[in-house]
Amino acid sequence: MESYLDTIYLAVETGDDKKVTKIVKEALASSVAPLDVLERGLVPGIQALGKLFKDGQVYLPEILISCRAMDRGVEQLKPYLAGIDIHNKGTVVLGTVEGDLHDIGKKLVRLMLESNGFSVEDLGVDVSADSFVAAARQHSASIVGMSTLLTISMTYMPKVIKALEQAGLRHEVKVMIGGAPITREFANDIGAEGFAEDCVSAVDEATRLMGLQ
Amino acid sequence: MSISNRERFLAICRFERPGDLCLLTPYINDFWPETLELWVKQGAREEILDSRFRRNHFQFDHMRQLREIKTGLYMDRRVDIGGATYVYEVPPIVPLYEPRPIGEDEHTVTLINEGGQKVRVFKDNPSKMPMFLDHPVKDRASWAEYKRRLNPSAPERWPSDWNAYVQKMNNRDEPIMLDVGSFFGFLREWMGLERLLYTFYDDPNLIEDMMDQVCYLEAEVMKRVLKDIRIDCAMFWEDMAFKTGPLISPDMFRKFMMPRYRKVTDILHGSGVDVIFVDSDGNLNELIPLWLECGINFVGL
Repeated sequence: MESYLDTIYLAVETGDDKKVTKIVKEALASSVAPLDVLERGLVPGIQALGKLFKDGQVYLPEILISCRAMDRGVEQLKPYLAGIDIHNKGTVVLGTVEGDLHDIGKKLVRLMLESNGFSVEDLGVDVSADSFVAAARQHSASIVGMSTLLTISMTYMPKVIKALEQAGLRHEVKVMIGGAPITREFANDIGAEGFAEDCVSAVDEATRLMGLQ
Repeated sequence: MSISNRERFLAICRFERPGDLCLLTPYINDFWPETLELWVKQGAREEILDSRFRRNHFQFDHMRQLREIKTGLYMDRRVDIGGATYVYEVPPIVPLYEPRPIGEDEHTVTLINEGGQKVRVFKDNPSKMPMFLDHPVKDRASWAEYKRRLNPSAPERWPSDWNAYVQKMNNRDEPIMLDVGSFFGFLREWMGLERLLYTFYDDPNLIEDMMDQVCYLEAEVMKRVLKDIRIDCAMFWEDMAFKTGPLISPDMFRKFMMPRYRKVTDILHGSGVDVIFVDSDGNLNELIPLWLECGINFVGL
C-alpha cells in the first residue's frame, strides 16, 4: 500500500496527472482504502507542492499542473467516497469584487483551497456585496474570500464587510482578502481577519482562520 | 557645447551624465484615464487630460517609437462602447481580426477585439482592464492558422513609402526606439495565461515553435530597419510577473526564453544598439539578472 501512496504523492507533487489517474486506479483495484488514497497520497502531495512554492522552488505552472493532477485523482475516488464529504475543512465563498473582472488570481486560490480540502463556492468576478451576503448565507460559509487586482476596486471590500455586518452574518464568517494592491495593513484597516499574498498562503490563512493549525 | 536629444538620451543610458535624467513615461505607459480624472477632481487643471499639455507640463523627454512598423504591440486600438471607449493593445498580427460585439448585460459588453480575443468590458468604464474569456490560439491547429498573421513581409506591416519614412526618422532629433517583440507577453495574448502555463508542460514544442516565430519575425524586421534607420534603443514587452515573483520559473525562463533573447540582442549589438529595454510589471527581482545576461539592460515597471 505504501508504495502506491508514495507514488501518488510524488505524481501529484510533480503534476503528472496521467500517472495519478493510473496509480489511483491501481491502488483502488488493490483494495487500498479510498480515504487513504486521499489523505495519505493526494493531499500530502499537494501540501508538499505548496511548501515548494513557498520556498521558491516551483512557480505557477507547477501549481496548475499539480492541482490538475490532484483533481484527476479525486475524480477517480468520487464513486468510492459517496456520502463522505471529502471537502470538510470549511466552506469558502470566493469572488472578485464589484468593479473588477480579473479572474486568474482568484481561480488559483480556488484550485489550491479545493485541493487542500476546502469546499469553495466561486461567485466569479464583478461580485456585488449583496451577492457575497446571499452566497454566504446560502452555503453557510465559514469564510468569505475577496480578490481584486485594482486599487480603484479595493475600496469595495469594506462595503462587503459592512453588508455582512448589516445582514447579521459577521460573527459567523471570517473575511479573507488578497490581490495585487492588498496588504496586511489594509486588511487590518478594514477589519478583514485574513490576508493572503498568493494562492498558497491563502490555504495557510484559511486553515488558520478555521482554527485548524 | 550643445547636445542633441538623441546624444543626451544615450549618454544618460550609458551613465555618462550623472545627475541628468530622462523622463519618458508617456511614451512607454501613459497615465490611466481614471488617474487623470481623479487628479482633476483633486484640483489639477483640466488641461491635464490632454497628452500634449501633460508632455509640456511635466517636461517629459521625447522618444519616438516606430509604431508604423508592426513589430510590437499595436497601441491605442479603440472600440466605442455606448459613448465610452475601450482602449487596448494588440500583438503585431497582420491582418487584424474584425472587431465585433457578441453580447451584453447590464454592466458589461462582450466582444471580439482586433487581436481575436473574446473580452468582457465594463460599459461605464471601458478603460478598466477587461476579463479575457477566450483567445485565438488553443492548440497546434489554431496556431497554424494564427501563425500566418505573423509574416514579416506582409506589406501592411510596413510604412507604404519606406524611403520617405526612413528619411523622416533619421532626421528626427529625439531618440528612436524599435519594438523587438515579446517571448512571453505575445504568447499570453495569443493563448491566455492559464492555457499558456499549462502548455509549457503539455506541449513544450508548441511553445518553442511560437517563440521561434516571434524570433523570426523580429529578426527579419530588424534586418531591414537596422540597415536603414539609426536606432537608439530597442524594447521588449513581457508583463510576466505578479505581486510576489515571475509567472514562470527562472529555469523555464532560461530554457525557453534566453536563447531567443540572445538571438535578438546579438543582432542589435551587431548594429551598435546597446540600450535594450524590457517592459514588465510585477516583482522582477529574480528575472533582472537573467535579462542582464541576455544583454537587456533597462527595465521598465
